[in-house]
Amino acid sequence: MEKYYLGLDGGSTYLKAALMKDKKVVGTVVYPTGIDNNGVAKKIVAALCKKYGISRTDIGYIMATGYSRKILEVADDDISEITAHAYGVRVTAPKEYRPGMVIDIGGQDSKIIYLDTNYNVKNFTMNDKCAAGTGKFMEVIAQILETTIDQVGALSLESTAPCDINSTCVVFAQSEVISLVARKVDRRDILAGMHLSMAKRIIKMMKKSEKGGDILMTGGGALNTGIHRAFEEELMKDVYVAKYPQFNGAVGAALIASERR
Amino acid sequence: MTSHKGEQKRYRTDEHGWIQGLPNRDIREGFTAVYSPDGLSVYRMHYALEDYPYFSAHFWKAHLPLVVIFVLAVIGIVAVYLIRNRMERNNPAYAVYSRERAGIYPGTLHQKTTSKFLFVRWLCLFTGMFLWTYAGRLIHQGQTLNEISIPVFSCPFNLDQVVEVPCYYLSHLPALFGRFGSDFPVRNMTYGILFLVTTLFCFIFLGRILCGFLCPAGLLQDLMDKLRQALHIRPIVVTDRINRFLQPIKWVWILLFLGFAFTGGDFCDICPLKGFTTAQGGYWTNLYLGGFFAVVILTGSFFIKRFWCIICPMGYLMGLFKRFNLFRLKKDCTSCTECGACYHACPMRIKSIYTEREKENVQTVDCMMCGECIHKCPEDNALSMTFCGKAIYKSSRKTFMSKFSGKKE
Amino acid sequence: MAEPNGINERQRELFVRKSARVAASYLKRAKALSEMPDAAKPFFDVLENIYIKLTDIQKPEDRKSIGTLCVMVPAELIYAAGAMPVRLCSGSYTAYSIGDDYIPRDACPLVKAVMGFGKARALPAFDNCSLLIAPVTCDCKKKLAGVIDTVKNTVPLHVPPLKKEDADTEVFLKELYRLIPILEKETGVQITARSLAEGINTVGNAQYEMSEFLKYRRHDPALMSGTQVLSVMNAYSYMPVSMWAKQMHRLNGEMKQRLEQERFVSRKNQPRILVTGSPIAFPNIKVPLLIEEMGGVFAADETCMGERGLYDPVSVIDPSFDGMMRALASRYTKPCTCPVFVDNSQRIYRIKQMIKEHKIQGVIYHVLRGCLVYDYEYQLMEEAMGKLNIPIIRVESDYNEEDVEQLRIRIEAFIELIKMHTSA
Repeated sequence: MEKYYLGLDGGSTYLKAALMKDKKVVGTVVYPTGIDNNGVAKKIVAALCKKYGISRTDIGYIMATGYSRKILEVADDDISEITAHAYGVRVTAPKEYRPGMVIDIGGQDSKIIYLDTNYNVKNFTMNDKCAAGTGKFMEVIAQILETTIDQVGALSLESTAPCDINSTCVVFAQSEVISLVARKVDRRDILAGMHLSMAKRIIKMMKKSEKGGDILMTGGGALNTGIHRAFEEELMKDVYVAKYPQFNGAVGAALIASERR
Repeated sequence: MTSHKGEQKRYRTDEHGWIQGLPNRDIREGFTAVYSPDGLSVYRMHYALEDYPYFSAHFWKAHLPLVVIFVLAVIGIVAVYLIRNRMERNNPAYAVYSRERAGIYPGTLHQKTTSKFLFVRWLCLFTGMFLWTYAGRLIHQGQTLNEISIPVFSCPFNLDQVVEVPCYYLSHLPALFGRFGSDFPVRNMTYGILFLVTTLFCFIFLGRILCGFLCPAGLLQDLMDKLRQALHIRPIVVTDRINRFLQPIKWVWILLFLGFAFTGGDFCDICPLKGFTTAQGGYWTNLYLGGFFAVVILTGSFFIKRFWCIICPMGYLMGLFKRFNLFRLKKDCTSCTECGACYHACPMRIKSIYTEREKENVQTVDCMMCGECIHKCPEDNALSMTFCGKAIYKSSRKTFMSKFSGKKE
Repeated sequence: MAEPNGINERQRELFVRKSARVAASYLKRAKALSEMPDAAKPFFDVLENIYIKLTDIQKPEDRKSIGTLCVMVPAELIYAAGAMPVRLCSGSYTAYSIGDDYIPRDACPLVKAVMGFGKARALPAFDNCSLLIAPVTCDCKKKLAGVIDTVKNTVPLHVPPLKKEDADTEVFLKELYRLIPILEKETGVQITARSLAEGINTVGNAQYEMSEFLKYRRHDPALMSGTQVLSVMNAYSYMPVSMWAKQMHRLNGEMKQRLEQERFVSRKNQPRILVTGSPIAFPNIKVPLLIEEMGGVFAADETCMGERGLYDPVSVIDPSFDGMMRALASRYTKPCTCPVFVDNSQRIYRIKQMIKEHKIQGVIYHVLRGCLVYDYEYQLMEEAMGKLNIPIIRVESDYNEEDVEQLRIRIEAFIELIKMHTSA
């Protein structure tokens, strides 16, 4: 019987999993990480097995990626997130996408991965020193504006006049936003400005020389329609969004797992 | 005609009154001619050269101009040495010099690596000197093989040369077309064609390797350089500034070489190398201005390696055909580290050997294939000399570094 | 000139303790990478003595040590003067944190470490140098030469920024001539043609051993871990060159044995990586350790504290004193691939040659934070590597351990990238 393959993406806030068979995604699940990475991973494996009616031995290989990849005991092997995301794109990218650039906006870091026409990684840049341009930024601002992170996208699209957010640092941006709120600026405009600021930040990481192919967004941040629009505006190009973007890393890991066996 | 030895031969003059094919040796040794120009009158003529076997008085007398030149050159060298010392006293960098430092050659401390290539080159140079000075008399029974000509700077006034040298005809271009009643071999077609063919072959296919391997003037300069090293005297380093000063001089010589004859002058009067092989072969030559230039060349080549070759007109003409040479100098630009050793070693100061970054072919019009650059190159295969595409001498890191290996040779 | 101690006794004690701990941990990791050849042990002992036990350099009593920076100061000249050159470019994190008080925040960490040792007076190898010769190369070294004069007698050496023309070599030649009376006054020994030739021969012998060693280093699979090789090269800074050469000779012998017995330290599928860029000086061997711990092979390095310092030999054309000086002036500028020169395009050729010889599959371009000159050349390097289809990434690091995880993820991803690239 064809084996199932499981990919685990252990982030700092969420642990995501994707179950695959025949190189197609069967199911995905996400749990908050908490402090016990291993325990949560085991729970995920059990939950997936129960949901799809398979046993542990039906899973041929478990590949882990992400922050906690080296400590997950259930995993057979681990791989870096960059390779995992590059692989995930092979499954999650829309058909029209020609491999070029992949922008991954995670909870605490953001990456840009450059692919060649065969979906192999050519080069990559990461921002893991600073939270501006990551999901954390959005979380912090969302909280001030008394909304949640899954709402910010839709709200920002309603804005007609985005305002400028000048601070590059998340902490200083917080104070700036608070003063904007005090000045009675519409929160939709603030959100639009925040998205633009994030997009500009990430675009600064881009290499101008890598022009080939299209641009694709993955990671949890890709669910945010506001930042999608901000990228398209700033780059003046169409930007694609991957399917189930927040599971892209897990999908990639599972795909690599299937190739290992 | 009856030769000196009593042999009798009959000759017929051609329509111009010339007699063709008289052996050189007979001319030299003397003969008695009985001839009749019109069939009616008979003339008897006895013709004899002063016979001077080697080491006769005449032979030594012929060396006199050489001796004079050498003595003047010694004076010149000493003068240049003293002038340089005086000039450098004011230079703060060299003021650090003291007698203990200047020019002690710790040859014993540097383990010598003999390069087979350079050994072969010296051998060829000495052979060339021998061939162009004495060999004609000893090999072909006193006859220069006039049909073959190889362009080196050896004066054709030396009738004992083993083969002919085209420098006379190149510097007397009008004579090439028989305008001044010369006896250029065009008159005798096979003879002339062979002459031209061999000259052209040497120019086009051999090129300046003759400068590095066969030219007697080259040997002379290399010997002066060795003399300087033996005397522990520092050379004059030819930097860009000095090189720029020498280039116009080269053009003047080329103009004189090719054009002097058209103005009625005779290049041989100013040729600095007229005296050397001829005097050594025992032929008396008048030097005129050429002698003065010879002193300059000797002094120059003492301090600057291959000084004449940098300004030699015939060498330049030979270098023009470098594209067709059988011997080429190639460079592998990737393994070159631009250390500049080849540039400093090159007597012709060719900079493009070390600055070239793209092309494989680094032979310029000045390159005389002496192989010094390859000898001093510390990288594997960065420079190599090829013959018909096959490498005959390559730079090798192993060979270069072996002199530091600490193993006594 | 020297000023009263920058830090007090108690601070020095703590400094020494921390510095020794950091150095010891890196040394341990380097040794643990793979089976270290026995003949490499003396080199590691030297590093241990200098950085952990804090002894002075092992050298004859009467020989003074003269500190140098960068790779432009001719060691041959210093040996000819009867002294010993000590390369003071250091990778100490502890010294860096001291130097941080005296050097601007955005400046090169290597310069901060040198200054830190100057002020802390806690490294005998540094303190016992009677003189420091500082080539004026990049901005940071230029200002260091000025600032460090307060704690150590410093002689700046002007290095011309252009090196192709004869006039530039003449400039450097004049500088070397200017250096001679300075060295002679320091040691009291006159530099003669004989002693200069001996100096050239002695250093040449070390370069010969280095040349032989490189043949073994190039071998695929590797015969010795690259980080250990780098440590051996770094030990050159603190050993008299004849001792170093002798030890290298033994190491070469052992390498030959390893080759014959096929005792390799890497497997066929491990990516071979070349590291080039800002100097990697002990104990800052973070990047090579990460490469090898993440499964790569550190197969070649094009950095000044590694192979480059000893690669180019002196090619003496004319064996007079002036001729030897000219050969030195030529060798220390023309083939030098340091980006402080305006035109450094030959560095790309050197790297191409190394890629060919060492069978390299990926290049890591290492830039220290604040090192602008190397950063400038990254663009050209990327284009050149793109043409050769060799993957290259830029990795930036500082003298602290806060960026280790970031470096780790990047190096790991790069190694995976190479594996997929070569199997594709």
